[in-house]
Amino acid sequence: MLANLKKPSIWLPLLSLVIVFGGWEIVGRSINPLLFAPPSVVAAQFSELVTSGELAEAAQITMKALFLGYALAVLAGIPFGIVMGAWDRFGDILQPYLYAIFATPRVVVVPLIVVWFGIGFEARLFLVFFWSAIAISVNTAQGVRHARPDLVEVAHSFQASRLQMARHVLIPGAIPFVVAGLRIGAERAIVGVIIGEMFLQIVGLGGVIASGSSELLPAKMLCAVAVIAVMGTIIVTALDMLERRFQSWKGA
Amino acid sequence: MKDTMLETPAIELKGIRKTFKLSDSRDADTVLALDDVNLSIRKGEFLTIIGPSGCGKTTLLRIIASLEEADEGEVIVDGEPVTEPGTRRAMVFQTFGLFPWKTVIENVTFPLMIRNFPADEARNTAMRHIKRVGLEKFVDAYPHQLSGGMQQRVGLARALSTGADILLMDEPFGAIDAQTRELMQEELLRIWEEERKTVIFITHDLDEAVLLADRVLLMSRGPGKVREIIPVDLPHPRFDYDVRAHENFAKVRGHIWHQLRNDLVQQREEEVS
Ligand SMILES: Nc1ncnc2c1ncn2[C@@H]1O[C@H](COP(=O)(O)OP(=O)(O)OP(=O)(O)O)[C@@H](O)[C@H]1O
Ligand SMILES: [Mg+2]
Repeated sequence: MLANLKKPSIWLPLLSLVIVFGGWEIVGRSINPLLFAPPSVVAAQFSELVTSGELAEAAQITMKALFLGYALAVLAGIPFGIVMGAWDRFGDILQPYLYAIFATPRVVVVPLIVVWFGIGFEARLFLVFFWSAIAISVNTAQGVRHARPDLVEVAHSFQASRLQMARHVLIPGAIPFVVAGLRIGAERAIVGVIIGEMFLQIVGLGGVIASGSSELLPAKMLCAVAVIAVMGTIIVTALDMLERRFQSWKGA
Repeated sequence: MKDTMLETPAIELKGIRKTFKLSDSRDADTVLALDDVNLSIRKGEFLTIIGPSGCGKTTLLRIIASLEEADEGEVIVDGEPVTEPGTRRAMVFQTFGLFPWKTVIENVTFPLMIRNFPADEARNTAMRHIKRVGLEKFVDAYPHQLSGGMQQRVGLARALSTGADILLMDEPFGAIDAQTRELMQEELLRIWEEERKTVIFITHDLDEAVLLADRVLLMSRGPGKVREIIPVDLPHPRFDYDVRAHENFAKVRGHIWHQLRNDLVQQREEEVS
């Protein structure tokens, strides 16, 4: 039984794909083409978007804001998180605001961002950066605060200095939390970049969705959605694997 | 007996008192964990400490290790009062205390590296003790790849390689299965018989307390006090014969159990009334 479960079967996923896509094709053909598109139409639309270069251009715009915003979030979020974690009071003061920002859907602040940053690249960059940076710093702070007291005591019993304590105990202990923050931050960044492109400045892959919607071309929307989904899956899976690599660092 | 009286004790405790606050507020309730503990431990002595749960054994050991500060009293190591952890004392922790991000060799060299030993010297010393506890095949393994018994062998190798002559062990085999524990008791005693380090060893296990000790320190519940110190007259090396069948083993064990039992029964009666 267990052996059966472990053996990866290609037939089941394949069957599932055939059924889903087959069903989609059949249902899609019978629905008003302004509302829905079967896979055959989506495929045709996809090759058109690719050959015209529209998709590549859109993806490039999206990636630029995504990667730059995320890189800035990592660079700012980690040091900020360390300060927040190491200096309890500072973290306590900031915590309610950070949680409030973290919990508020970003669409509702889009009008404010327009006022502050306009509707250009900077505004979209801010949407990616800010929420991602908060996720990273909150997690980093948690990692710094959650140093295992038993290991701190071990190092203390062997007369480690403060610097040695930081280097051999506190920092390695915080790494799994930081990596978890990097993954959550990436998820936040991906959502942020698309919101910016759909509601701030109609460009990039989010823009393709928005224009597909106004042009009543569901196939076009689905193409952009698929690209975003694949991109997001690759990024999040990679960070997820990184996170798992550091899992054993949390406990012995 | 006479010459040991003249020698400076490895550790002396004078009037150790410790209370804990149960919360941070100023008028918080307090618990008296240790009440006027006086004790003298000879160089090279193996002392085991046993007593009901919560009687202050861990607190006492942490105070000896200078990981906790006593409210009153003094800890004197080799004639010198101490207040900070030092290189003469090394701790073996109940939950092993290995760094999950360090390999076996890195864990064992940690205390030497902290003291800026040259890398190859630290490595040689560590390797010698890793071999001694039979883990030479696992030098580059991470703690999570090892069983509990193996992890504690690393903990022991780490303490030994510091060169400390006083080992402080808080239920080191408590989290290890019974058969492995027995084997590790034998290994520890063999190492002790070779090196005659001073060992203070806390345990919940009556057999273990008697099996290993030169003297058993019996603590009493509530405000932690030394109830009795029982010498164990059993020849060394102890694992060359069936120690448990020795009449002194049964005598000492029976005596300690009787005392512990009284304490526990009394505690139950107090709880009921
Ligand atoms: N940090 C602390 N804060 C408050 N109370 C404490 C603290 N550490 C210990 N105590 C209390 O001091 C008493 C002695 O605790 P200790 O851990 O030394 O007992 P123990 O003999 O080691 O018990 P066990 O056999 O269960 O390990 C207990 O009543 C305990 O609740
Ligand atoms: Mg204890």
